[in-house]
Amino acid sequence: MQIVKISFIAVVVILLQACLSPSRLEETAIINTRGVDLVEEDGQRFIEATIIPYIFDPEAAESTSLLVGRGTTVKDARTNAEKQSPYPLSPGKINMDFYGEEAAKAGILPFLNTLIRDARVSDRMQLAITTKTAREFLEYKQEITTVNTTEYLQDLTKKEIDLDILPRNTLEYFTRLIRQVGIDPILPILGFHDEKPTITGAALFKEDKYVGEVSLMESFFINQLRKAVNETPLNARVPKENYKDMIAYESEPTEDEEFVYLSLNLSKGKGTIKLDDFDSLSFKADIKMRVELLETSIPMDIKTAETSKRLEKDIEAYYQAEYEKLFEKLQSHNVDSFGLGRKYVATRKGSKTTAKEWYEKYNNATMDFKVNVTIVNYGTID
Amino acid sequence: MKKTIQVPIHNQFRAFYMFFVIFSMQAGVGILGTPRIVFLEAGHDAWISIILTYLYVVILLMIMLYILRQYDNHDILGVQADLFGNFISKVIGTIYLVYFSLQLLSILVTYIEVIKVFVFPKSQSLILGLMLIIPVVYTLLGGLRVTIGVVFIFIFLTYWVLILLIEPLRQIDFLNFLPIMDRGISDIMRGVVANAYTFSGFEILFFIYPFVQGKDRMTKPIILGTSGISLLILLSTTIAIGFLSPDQLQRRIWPLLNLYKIQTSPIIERLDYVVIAEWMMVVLPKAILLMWCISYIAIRMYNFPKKASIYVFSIIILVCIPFFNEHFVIQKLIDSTKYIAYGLVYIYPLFLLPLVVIKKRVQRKKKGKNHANR
Repeated sequence: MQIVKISFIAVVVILLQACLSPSRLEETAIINTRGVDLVEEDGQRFIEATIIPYIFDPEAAESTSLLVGRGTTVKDARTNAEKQSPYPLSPGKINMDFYGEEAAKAGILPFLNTLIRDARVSDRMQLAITTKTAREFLEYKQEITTVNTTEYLQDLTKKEIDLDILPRNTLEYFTRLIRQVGIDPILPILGFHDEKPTITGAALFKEDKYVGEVSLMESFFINQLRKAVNETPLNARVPKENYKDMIAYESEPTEDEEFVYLSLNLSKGKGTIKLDDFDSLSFKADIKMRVELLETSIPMDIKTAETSKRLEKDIEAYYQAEYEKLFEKLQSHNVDSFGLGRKYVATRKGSKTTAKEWYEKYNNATMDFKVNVTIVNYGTID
Repeated sequence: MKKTIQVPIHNQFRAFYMFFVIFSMQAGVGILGTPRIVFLEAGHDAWISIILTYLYVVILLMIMLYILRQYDNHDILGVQADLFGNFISKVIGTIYLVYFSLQLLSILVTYIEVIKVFVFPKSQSLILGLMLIIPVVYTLLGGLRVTIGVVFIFIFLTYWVLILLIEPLRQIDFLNFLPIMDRGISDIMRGVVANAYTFSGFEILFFIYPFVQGKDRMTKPIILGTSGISLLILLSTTIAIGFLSPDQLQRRIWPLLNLYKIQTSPIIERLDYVVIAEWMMVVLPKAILLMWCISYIAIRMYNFPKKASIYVFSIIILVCIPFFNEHFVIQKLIDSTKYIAYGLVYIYPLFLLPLVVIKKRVQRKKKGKNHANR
């Protein structure tokens, strides 16, 4: 009797599985990379989706080819692109999502919305901005290289993120910052350099709108104030006249140089922001960097602790000036990439501040940078 | 209806297992959405609301135990019959019956909704419901001891998934919690009220009490059980507030699953799917215990045969499942369950307490007088 009961249940459960429609891997086109653009046609704005699908079917001629569709919503554009594909498109594994310059300037939250709403989309997909339209970028990329586009581009950005030069560009992180009061996200910008896709800089976002561009170096400065960074290659320069006594070698091309250029490796860096005075909106940033000296543009002898201190001072001054320049630039765009507002909102008096109120206050904020550089070692020579 | 229940020894279980009963009953699908529900009311001070709710639940449990200990081997139905008479006791018992059925229905449909949104959008509610009900019925046919055993085992099979929250835990931003106590007391209290659905379930003590062996050793497992699950709820809420931005938290329906979405492993990219599958093992024990309560009340009040009560109520609930397939209908169901819970779970014991105390005092006086007269 017991066996009959159990086997009955087993049979029912096995049969019940047939109730779900199967979706075969070989018969779906998995969207790996997606590009979104805004285009104008007959005076109406359309969303254009460029899709690189991945098809597992060994008989399919090209495993990855480009599909383009237009529509009023992202899903609509995708459905139109799907008409060019023999298999249904599945968005479950979008790895990279590109936004053309135009689309990014208009604000990308509407495009992200569909991704957040769909539970089957991974939160770890990477977002990036392209210098031209995303379609041009992907088409051109597809033309010049035969390697797996998605993986190539993904590794390209991932490498910079691992080096802490760029903050994370995952969907989950970006959407977290986008509506957070008092901090603005940044994303990498991809373009072409000598016919090779490269990261050309970082895009400053004000909420979800692309408003300005900073260099990768500056993006590192922003990242350093957000999290502990390490193993990042850095550059600095110090005025040459301070080191007249230490220069070990002179040659014609270096003679007229005003600066000595240094190549450093950051072994540890951390910046903390403090709200110094609530009413006058003055902030203090304390940045500690431990670096290794890898190369100097003019060979130098650093024999004593005193000269090493002098070098550290000058590097500090250089970074401090760079930070100040960057802060000015951010304020001119009215973008709070450092996240000063987060400190402001975390206080009892400022906790009810809305994003709009903060942007009005932000331009009156002052920031005092204090950089502390320690050179840990000089390699095998001093 | 008899007031005192004689439970045969083979149907009793040790007080130690009350830990697992209370723990499993308070778990369920509520945790998936709690961070958001409390956050909507209490903002980033939601964690304070959770601690307050926990303290209130502990006090309630002590009161419930006190009430039950005034009698020998009574369940709540017996206590009510003693206080208000048989008829009113039956009415309140029926409300309990309806309440448990709504609870059971609501956790099943919520879980089915999660499966549909995340994993199988095309699956049919009725079939998923059937697959969930079959093990419930099967367990209950084995009797109370089997039920407790299943509950016991499922706890060990389930809660390892919390380790997967390590990645969001590492990324917590403590600025999200500042300033502490920013919201007023009224907001925090509203957060406590919003917790009612998630924390409900401990009312099973009123029904399962006569079956416990060694009733004097019961306090510790009960308090530890509710502490354990409250800690998990607190943990998940804290991580959700620290990790997600306020705007995200306000809009995501199941924030806990969103936390799992960012965790990956080299083999499995989407661990949230694993968690959803695992969550069946959280839903099942609660469903089994709820069904036990339903059948117990039916047997005790209306003299249903045991098997018939299980089958009949399972079929009724199964038939109801397909009607709850829209998000807002399900929300309405949860809300109405919550309203009954306010009265029945959170206020009713407080109301019973003075009555029981007075009644016992009067009885003692009477006894004293009788002695004196003799």
